[in-house]
Amino acid sequence: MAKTLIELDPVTRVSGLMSLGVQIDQGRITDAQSGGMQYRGMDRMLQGRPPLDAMRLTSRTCGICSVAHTIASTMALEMAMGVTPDFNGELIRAITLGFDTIQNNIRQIYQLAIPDYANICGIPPLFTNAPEEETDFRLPKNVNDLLVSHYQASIGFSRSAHKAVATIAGKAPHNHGIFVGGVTTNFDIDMYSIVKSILHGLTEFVRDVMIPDVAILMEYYPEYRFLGHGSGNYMSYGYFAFLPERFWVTKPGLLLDGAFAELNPDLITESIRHTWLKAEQELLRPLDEPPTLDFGKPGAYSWVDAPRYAGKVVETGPMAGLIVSGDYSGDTGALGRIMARALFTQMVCEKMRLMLEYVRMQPANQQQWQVPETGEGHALTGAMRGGLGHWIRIENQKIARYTILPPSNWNMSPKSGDGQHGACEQALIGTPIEDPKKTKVIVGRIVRSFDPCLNCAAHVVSDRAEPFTFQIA
Amino acid sequence: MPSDPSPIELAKMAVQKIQNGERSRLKAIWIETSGCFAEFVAMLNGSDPDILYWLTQMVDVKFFASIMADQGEVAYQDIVDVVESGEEYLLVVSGAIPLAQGGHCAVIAKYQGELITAEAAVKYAAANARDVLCVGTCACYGGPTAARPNETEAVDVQTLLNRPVIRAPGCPCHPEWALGTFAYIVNFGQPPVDGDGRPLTYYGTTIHRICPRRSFFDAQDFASQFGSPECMFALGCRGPITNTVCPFTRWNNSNNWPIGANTTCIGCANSGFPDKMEPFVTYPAGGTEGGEEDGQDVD
Repeated sequence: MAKTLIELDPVTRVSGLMSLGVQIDQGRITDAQSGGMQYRGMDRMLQGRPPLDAMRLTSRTCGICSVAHTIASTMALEMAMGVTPDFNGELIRAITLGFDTIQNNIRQIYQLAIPDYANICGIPPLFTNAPEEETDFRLPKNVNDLLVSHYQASIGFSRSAHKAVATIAGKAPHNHGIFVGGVTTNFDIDMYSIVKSILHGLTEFVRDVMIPDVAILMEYYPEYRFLGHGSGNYMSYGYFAFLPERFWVTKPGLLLDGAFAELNPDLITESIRHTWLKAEQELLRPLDEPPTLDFGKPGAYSWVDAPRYAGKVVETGPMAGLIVSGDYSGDTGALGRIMARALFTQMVCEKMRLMLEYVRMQPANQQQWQVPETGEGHALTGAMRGGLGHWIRIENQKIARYTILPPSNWNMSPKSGDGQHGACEQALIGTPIEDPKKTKVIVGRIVRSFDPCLNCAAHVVSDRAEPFTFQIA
Repeated sequence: MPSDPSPIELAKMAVQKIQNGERSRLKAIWIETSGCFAEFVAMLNGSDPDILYWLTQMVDVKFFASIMADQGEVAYQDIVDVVESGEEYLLVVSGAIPLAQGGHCAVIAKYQGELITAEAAVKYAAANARDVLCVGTCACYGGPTAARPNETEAVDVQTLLNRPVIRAPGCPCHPEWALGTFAYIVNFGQPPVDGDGRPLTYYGTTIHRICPRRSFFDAQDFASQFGSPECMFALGCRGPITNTVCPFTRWNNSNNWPIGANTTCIGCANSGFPDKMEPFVTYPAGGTEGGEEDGQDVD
């Protein structure tokens, strides 16, 4: 049988613009190219701006995980400024992140992933116009109807999770309440009462509806428990790990070649060999000299670069975090990844309930924060999609360099210079394709299990351009 | 609030007209270009009307990549079918349009072997569109995507198309503002807009005019740091130059909003956000610095 190239562009129902190409040879995927199809240059945009503005601006990297960026940016700034946030503020930040994570994970599972398995009939454009021979819906009508009703119900639950974010932090996406020092809101009984009630409803939905729904998918689509297994190397920055250990959902660390390893940020590199970027050197480090845009570069197929840990491809995300922490030994294919996300969400709910026992109603820890002449800081912290890193360098009281390294760079990367495929690409390669007409369905399911975010991933390490001057209105 | 019908009232009118057979639902194409994809998240946050009501009762959405079941070339075909149908349709755009690198900093699809850039897709879909609605500050004004140094040479949709568009800015656009604007278009066509194309219902007043902290401003009682209950004018609040109804609609069905969180408005719905809205905080002289809290009278 001849080799066949099948392209999927756009990959819909992911955050951001994505393309995918797979090569099929003798009934198996033999090559895969995951393409991030957008580039914004957030890191360069930040240069020369007031450091305190980074908390607001880096949030604009991503509409579906904005709280995670605000927290990473705030922590990196606090390190650079020598500020220690108050514990109550950190608890409130964590609760805010928790709600944004629940929001994200409900939407990932229902709005983004489930239309691959259930036919959301009756509501265009939520059902497919693809010819029947290219689809693969197996649910009996009553089960399909159940999932459609849960799809509809989920919208209210994810919305209420964002109501909780706004109640605490002003607005979602792109909150205001998380700030250097802790938070700016004076947590009171009104907020406490609202968010505790919302959390109760979300906990019930996740436990009684979402997790059983993923179990239903595993029953009717059993091979996806295994199809889509990735590199087998997992990385976690620790979720809620900026709090004392009793609040952690996952711990920081790696599982490399089957053995646990401590996380060492110095071992992170980024390759641009197959990215539409050019620089003097091909291997970059956070806060390094810049690449410039080079669309059409030979061999490149993505705007996303290829981060590696100690030269290795690692997967990050809820499943990776749970595996590193020794808390998940289930399936590691596409539906395993989604089940781990659902279970992770339940653990987030439980830890948030614990936090609400510790949080106190007291004024925000705020003062007139002074930006130092120079400073450097970073934060590696757990986000919805896995490890998120922010690095900042301050010079002349302005941002001199800023690097954002989101989890989707790790998961959705193209090949690195040494020829290693990215984590999602590895998960696709080797997948059996018995009927080529079903290829798009199969690869779509595997890709979405990673919860790709291509608007996050479209970043670039900063350059040494002169800081701009700003008009103060 | 101005005396216009509320979004839910407008939406009900739209449904009534459809049920009476006065019109079928207006077709719509929603193209997401270069941005942070908060606009689809905000739409999912809508309530009364919510996104299901919007999809089933208000408009007939043929393309919306973040939520649609179709994927790959067949998804882009949905755009082509609408554009070539000869029927009326609404083009919605969220995100800015990058022009650098041949427009390839945002690629929407691969269609018949060609990469379709955001620039090409929006121009193509706009050609036959009855109206163009920009949702979010990036589509309206370039926003953070076009912020200095604007490496991708991103522009707003009106600049790209050189035709008037309806602008519903905000970072993101509040779903009630977006959905209410849809309701107006579906019921009555072009909404009354200001010189910038912004619907007056949602953008016809400044935050400052209707701010719940206005009495502090009038008494010249100013906060000198975040976390305080007074007017934040002295901290650089952009409420006086930002035209939105945030104080009325608040956010996410909560009673909170950025100023309610004791921080400055950063003017996220304005032309020139973020470049001309920075810095987002300026501490006035005479406040505390690493000392005791001032003005934290929180009961």
